[in-house]
Amino acid sequence: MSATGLLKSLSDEQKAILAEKKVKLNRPADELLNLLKPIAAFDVAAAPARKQAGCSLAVLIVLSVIVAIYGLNQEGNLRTVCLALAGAFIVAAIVNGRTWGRLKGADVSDNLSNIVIPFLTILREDVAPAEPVTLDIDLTAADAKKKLTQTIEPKTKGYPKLVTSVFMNPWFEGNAVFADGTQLKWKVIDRLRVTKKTKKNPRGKIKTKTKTKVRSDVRVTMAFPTKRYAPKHNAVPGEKRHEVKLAKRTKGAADTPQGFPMLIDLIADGYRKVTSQKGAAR
Amino acid sequence: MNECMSKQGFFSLRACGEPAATDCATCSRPICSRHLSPTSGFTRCLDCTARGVEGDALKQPGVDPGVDDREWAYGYRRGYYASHSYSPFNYGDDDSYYDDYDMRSFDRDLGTSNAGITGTDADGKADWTDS
Repeated sequence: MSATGLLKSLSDEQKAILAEKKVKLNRPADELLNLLKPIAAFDVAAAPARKQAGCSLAVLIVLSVIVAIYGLNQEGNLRTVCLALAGAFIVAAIVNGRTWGRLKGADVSDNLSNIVIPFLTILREDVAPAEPVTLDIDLTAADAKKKLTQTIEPKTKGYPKLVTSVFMNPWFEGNAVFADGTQLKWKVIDRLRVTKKTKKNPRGKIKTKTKTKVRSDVRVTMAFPTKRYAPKHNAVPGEKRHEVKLAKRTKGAADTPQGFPMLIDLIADGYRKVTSQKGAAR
Repeated sequence: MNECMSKQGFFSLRACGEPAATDCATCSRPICSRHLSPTSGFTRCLDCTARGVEGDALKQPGVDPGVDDREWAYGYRRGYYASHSYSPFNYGDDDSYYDDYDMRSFDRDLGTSNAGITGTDADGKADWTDS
């Protein structure tokens, strides 16, 4: 199905999520996956469709201008045909522009398909079917203006000019209770560093290069029921739950998200910090 | 009716306990409909299918709303345990592969007429046939 077809097939709730680009829900994992997967499917299909619509829009505008100028310099039937053709190109450009605008407006962060869906698919296995999972997801772009925290401008004028912008994106937060009674809370914060370097060559041509680096901070808090799990270290006598806090940080390019494996690794590390009581065997 | 013997969970495993729909064509364990693999035509369990897709399993799951990614999750689980040396906790029964009948040969007292004496056979004398 095409991207526009997928967009039309979404429910009102899914369209509202696309419009707000925020998810704040407390539902069983199966329901969350049923709600979010069609949105992710649309987002994956929309990326190439948006690019195609944008390119077609540019080509149609250029063609309509060329044909219109050529037609204005002609006389008789050829002039009429050229102007009609230019008009058709303009109409096609408007249709493409509207499609591009609709797809652009409904674009959500790739984190949904790259991190949230795989994480929920794994989480579903450990959470009891009726147990709700709380999600708070921000699906707006990581480099949105409201997330800008710092801009480092060059102190001197002239070239090369280096402008660095720092964005803080605390985009994924949630909690769940596993079937074994373990409580889990997690938070993912991405710190985006966008560096724009502008150079001027001896012929006076100005070129700008942009580099983007992402640092992901993943924090996980787990509270293990001491009836089932005994802490290996720092045990407090009489505590009902043993809390373990873990954090991990990675740096990488913007197009290689690390949030999903980091979350899985941290939760696995949490389980490595406890041993089994009666009833649980390794 | 037999119960499904598939283990569910990722970080800690527990017995499924649902009524079994059929036996897995590979491991012969009774399996419920939820733990049968769609790609095998619902003839094999997700664990047996995961053995075959292990290489691809560490990739991301698809986002096709019509596809239940439980199969991916089981493949990922198997791959993750192997690549990260992770051994999960088990709950409920100790191991669904072995029941009491299978475990009888590990019973120390079984096979000796005198349950109080171990280390010697029925003749009561310690000789080369004793362990």
